[in-house]
Amino acid sequence: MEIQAAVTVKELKKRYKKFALEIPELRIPKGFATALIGENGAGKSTLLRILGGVRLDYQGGIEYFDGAMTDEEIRENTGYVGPNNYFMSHWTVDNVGKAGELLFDHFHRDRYRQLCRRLGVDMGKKSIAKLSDGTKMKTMLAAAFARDTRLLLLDEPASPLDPLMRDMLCSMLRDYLDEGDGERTVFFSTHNVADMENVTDYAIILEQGRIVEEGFVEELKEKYALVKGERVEEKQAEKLLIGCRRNAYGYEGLCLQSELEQLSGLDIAVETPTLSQICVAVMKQNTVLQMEEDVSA
Amino acid sequence: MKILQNSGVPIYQQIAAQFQEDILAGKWKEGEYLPSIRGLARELRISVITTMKAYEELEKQGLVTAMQGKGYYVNAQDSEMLREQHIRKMEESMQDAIKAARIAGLGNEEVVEAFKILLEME
Repeated sequence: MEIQAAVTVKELKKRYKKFALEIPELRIPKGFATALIGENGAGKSTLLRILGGVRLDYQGGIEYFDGAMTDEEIRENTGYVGPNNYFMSHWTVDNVGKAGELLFDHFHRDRYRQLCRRLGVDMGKKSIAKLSDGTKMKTMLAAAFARDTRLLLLDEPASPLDPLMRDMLCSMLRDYLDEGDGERTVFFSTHNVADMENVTDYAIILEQGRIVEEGFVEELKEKYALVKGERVEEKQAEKLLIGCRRNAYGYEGLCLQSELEQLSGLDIAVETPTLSQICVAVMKQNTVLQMEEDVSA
Repeated sequence: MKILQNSGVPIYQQIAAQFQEDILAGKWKEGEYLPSIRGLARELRISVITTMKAYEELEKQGLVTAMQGKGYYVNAQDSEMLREQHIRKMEESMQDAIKAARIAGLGNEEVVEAFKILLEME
């Protein structure tokens, strides 16, 4: 099946004093949920803000929906949720609904109220500023899902949510994709890879402003193997392993399936890695942080 | 459909195996469309790419055909092939039975006798 892109990024550059986001090419697959994963400061929020039109000071080209829409239409069809405070602090949850209706053509106030109820957000008189981080996020999600969009850009939607609400968020994302019948796309950043894995179709790992790995999750799981072995043979395996971790008894790391043959003869156990394990190993391989040696020397 | 998260068998393979069984058992009729990939993902609470991969697996096996923009429909199942598959399944089960009989120390005649009784009981 041919996969189209909902968003295509070309030669994107955004420089800060000590950091630069540089993405030569990125295609966010249409009709799927794509997770953006990476360390704090890797550039995830910057990328999401640029794509969401919150930041405009960048170089490079971004094409939405095959270039078939006007800027106005792109705005109507894109929802953005992020950690910035873009509601007036004295607004109530109900005010957000009113504002949504004024700002967007296809904001459904009844749906907003339903979503707030479903997410357990109280429609009372409390101002947004006084809400907990979790409730603020739920309010923002309700406002985004209350619109008829084709693209959702969500900056760490799961972080402030409890496990039950993360599960609900996953369901909402799957419902959104299903109702879009291949025309709706979700792009979200997350640190909660394990909680979000069962709604993640495509994963992008960003480190220091660069994409270091990306692919459909099922393909990444076939690309890598999780290898575990005995301490005595560690030296022989080490050079093939990504994000190798050792302890007093043995080692484990990620190995490319295509290179697995080179480990034959060693006493190893091989299993299919989870997305979370792939992310940790790839991030460990690419981090500038000095990782503490796991082994007590 | 029962999906095990930690069985060691990839989820897409579990889904494909379940559909394969149902299609071969005739629970799906020729030309019938399988649930949409996103609809199934929603039902089973798994990612879209996983259901897609399960359907691609079924397509590889020749059980279904992908129709651009419409989904996956069930192919006409070759009755000769179906029969072959069932015969193979029967032989596998019989081999298991023979193995168990050997462990129990039964001779050939006792095995045949036991089998006859079971056939009559059916």
